[in-house]
Amino acid sequence: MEVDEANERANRLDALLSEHVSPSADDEMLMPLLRTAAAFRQSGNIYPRSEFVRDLWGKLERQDAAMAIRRRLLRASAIAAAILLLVGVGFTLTAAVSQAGPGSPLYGLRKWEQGVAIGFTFDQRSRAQQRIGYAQDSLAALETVIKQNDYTTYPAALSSFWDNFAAAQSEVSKVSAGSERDALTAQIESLRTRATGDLYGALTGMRWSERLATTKVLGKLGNSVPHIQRVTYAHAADVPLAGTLGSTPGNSDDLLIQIHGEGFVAGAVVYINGRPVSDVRRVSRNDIQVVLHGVTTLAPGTIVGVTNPDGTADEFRSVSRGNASSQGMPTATPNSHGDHNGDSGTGTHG
Amino acid sequence: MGDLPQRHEATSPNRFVSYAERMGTTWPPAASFPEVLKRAKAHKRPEIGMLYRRFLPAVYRYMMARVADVATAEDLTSETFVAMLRGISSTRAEDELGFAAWLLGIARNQVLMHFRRVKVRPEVELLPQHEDLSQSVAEEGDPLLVLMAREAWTETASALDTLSEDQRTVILYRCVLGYSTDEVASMMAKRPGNIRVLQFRALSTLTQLLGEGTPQSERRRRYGGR
Repeated sequence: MEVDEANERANRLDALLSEHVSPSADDEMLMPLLRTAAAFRQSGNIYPRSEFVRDLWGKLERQDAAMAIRRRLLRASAIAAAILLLVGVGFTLTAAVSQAGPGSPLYGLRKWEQGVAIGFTFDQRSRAQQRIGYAQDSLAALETVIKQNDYTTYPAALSSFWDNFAAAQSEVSKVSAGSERDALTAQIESLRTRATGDLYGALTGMRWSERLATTKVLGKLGNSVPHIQRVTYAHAADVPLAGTLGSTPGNSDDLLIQIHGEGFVAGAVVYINGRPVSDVRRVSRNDIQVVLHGVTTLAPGTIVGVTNPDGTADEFRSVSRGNASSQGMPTATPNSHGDHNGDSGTGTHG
Repeated sequence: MGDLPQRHEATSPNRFVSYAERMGTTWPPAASFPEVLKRAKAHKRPEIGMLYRRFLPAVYRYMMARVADVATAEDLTSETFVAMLRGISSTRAEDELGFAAWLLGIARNQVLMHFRRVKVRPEVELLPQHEDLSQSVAEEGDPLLVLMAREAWTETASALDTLSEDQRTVILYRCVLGYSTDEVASMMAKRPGNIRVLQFRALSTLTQLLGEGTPQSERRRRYGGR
């Protein structure tokens, strides 16, 4: 109850102070409080001296001007620092990009940078020279990878080298015939020879997948490498191979596998699903015949691989069964070059 | 020098008028307060001048109510506005009340620092020695009236020191600076009912201290022996 009364008095006093109501006889006890409030309200008559007002404003203006200068200096410093930082980052990035090898996250940036540089080179000879330079760089990177036996990065390095080499070749071919083009062509040839030597040298210790990729690049560089175009097989019993199959003519448990293509050389090893086949009956430049004993068919997806003695290799995955009667399964009749002329099956490669 | 604040004719102390009315200014002439504040935060000189014109009397009165010494009040007012200038770009205030609360918060801190510096409780000179005090009150003319006005004000100002911080703030905001109850509630983050109760208790205490008819010397003795 007392609290309510106190609140009521507080509200009434506030209403009187705010002049929302006029004092009445009931407000007698609030009047001293109103007079006290009025004493404080007299402070409304207090104003700062006009000199003080002017002086303080002058002081604030000077202060603000000084702060503005400081702000400008700070802003300029911040901009300068940002520029320095950008330049520093730019230099560091440029250095890192120029050193970035294949497989590095920055390598894409390096390729882009090279593309931009080429884009701004308008003289054809200079463009070709620049491309040769990039090809030399990428060959050096490839050589480093080979030296380090880093076969994780090897595919990217190999691919990068070939891309750069092909681009260099293309640019050189656009240079007008003459001594300048001859000089550039000599550089390309030198690069080709060096790369060929590097890649042949590296083949020995390579895994199968890298060996296949390297063989392809060696082929593109103009070397003779094995290339399987078609593989067929047939039961030895269905094929009149008396002269070819030697001791096992017409054996229905044997499969005759014929590999067509190019670049095969004597001593080539044939692999069926990664296992070497021991019974190699014939190897010519375009044809290899092997016999698998005790096997009646080859499952779909069987992988046939060929490795030449120099380490180059190729593989084929679409082996098909030949039909000796209708498709002329290999007769195994050697032609005048000692090559096999037979043809059969549907699997082709490249 | 920019557009300077001018002294204005005082209104009747018996009338509880709005701040703008008491200042005799039409605020704002062309832009809303938030717009002015936004430009002042970007250190636009004209808008800073507008805020200076608008709040200088309030800050000065606040200082006079706390220190009741013209020289000290001017120093502290000056420090308050310098601090305002330095910090205005970082204030989160977006409207007039928010800005007033922020600025008076600076003023309050300046007073606290002042008291800390002098290491005594706020002392109020009953008879300020400042040469220009006569210009600090509107009732210029009759020297006797001026003197009486000074003395009455310093007494009432020193009585404020006996109040709690909240009560003092309510009296300063309501009776000295002229903000409405709702505005004070908003500035102090309290409910209007609480402000009314604080106001009632504060005025009751002050009325007892300043008791009408009590001889001045006796009144001084009551609240601090001054």
